[in-house]
Amino acid sequence: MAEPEAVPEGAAALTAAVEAARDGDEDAFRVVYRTVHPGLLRYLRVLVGDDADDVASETWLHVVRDLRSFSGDGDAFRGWAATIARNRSMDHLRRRRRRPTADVPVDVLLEFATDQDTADEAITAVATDAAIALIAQLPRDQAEAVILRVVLGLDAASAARVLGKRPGAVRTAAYRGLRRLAQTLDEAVTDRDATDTDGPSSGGAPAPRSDETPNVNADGMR
Amino acid sequence: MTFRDRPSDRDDTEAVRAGADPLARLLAAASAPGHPAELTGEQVAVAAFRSAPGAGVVPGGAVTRPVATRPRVLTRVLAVKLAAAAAATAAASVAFAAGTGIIPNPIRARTVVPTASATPALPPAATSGHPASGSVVSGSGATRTVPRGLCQAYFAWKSQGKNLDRPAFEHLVTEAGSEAGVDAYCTKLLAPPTDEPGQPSPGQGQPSPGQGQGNPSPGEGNRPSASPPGHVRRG
Repeated sequence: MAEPEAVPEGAAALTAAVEAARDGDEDAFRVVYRTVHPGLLRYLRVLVGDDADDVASETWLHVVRDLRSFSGDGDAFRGWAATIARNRSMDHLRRRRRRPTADVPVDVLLEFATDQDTADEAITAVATDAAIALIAQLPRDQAEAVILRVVLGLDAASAARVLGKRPGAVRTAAYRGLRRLAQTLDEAVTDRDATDTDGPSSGGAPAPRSDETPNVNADGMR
Repeated sequence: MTFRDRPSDRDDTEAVRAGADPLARLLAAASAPGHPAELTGEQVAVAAFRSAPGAGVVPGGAVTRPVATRPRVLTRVLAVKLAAAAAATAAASVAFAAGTGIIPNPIRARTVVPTASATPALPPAATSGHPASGSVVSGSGATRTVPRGLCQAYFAWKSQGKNLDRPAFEHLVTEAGSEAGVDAYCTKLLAPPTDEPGQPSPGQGQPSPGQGQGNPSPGEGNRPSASPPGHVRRG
């Protein structure tokens, strides 16, 4: 993959960073963290909702503890981390005994459903959060399949290992999840078109997750 | 990141890009590169990384931070490459959906490009924190070992208003004797080693096989901390 003098690309870059982190390179670990954590956190939002940050911290504590015993490339690392995250989530849910719920405000839904061209614009954190919340509303097997395939970028076989299922089952679940998402968005468009003639609907104040304070000035982002 | 590298997933990459399709937009947003707000746990993770087995503990509590086996500039370039790959993932995720036949024909050929601000820059190395090491605290006749990083993680955790109800901290609570005792325990553990008798620390128990690669980096790793233990950002 990586030629001796060449800087590795894509997956090879993560592989190199994982290897360096295993050797104790802290900078490399930061690269690994920043590469893998966002997808992992989004997966955890689907699994445990607002407790995702807590479970993510536990997951990374576990990862760094066992990092030296890990062997594999960058893709394998993603799958390994996702498996740990999932196991932690199951423990967490057993303790909490409740299923997470995520409400997606209708106007945020419409942000995706309307015909505005967002391709030129930065994808905001709000849009990402809303997308994940929408995926989280799918039946869990579908939501997990979509997240692992689309967000974490695992292939069907890797996602199947994380979930303890057959690859065919994961493909089916991902397909059904995506189809359901498309239907939800279609319905939002239809509803919007139906209500447009009546003027703006009431109660349309944008309502990002109220329990989450915007925290944009994260340290370590220098 | 390598989503598009797999032949089975690549078939429609050229045919479908994120455009005006609602599902395509949703998936692009779902797989966008990490936002700064998503990375607030980095210091906790790095603190744990520093204290992980094999993090270069040597007798006497002195610490040799394992030196990067690659030039730091390579790490930086890796970060940039990975950010670019993240952009590719957003497009590839849409291609995945298209491959399933759910997304209709592409409206326009365009890739989703993240803003530069969404790509975190690498901070200078060793910007904060105590040197990583396993530290020995003697109590009730037994000599016990708790990684300093666990205490650093604890203070970071606490500063965010979180409780100790975490498997990761069970060991810490056990060592401290009680939840209420963790504060004092960790404060003592993280204190400068000047008030400790100078017996050699067994650290994590065995020498790290990862040591000996490269030279110790002067001025790094063994530097007294410039920040208090609880110094990890507030949300």
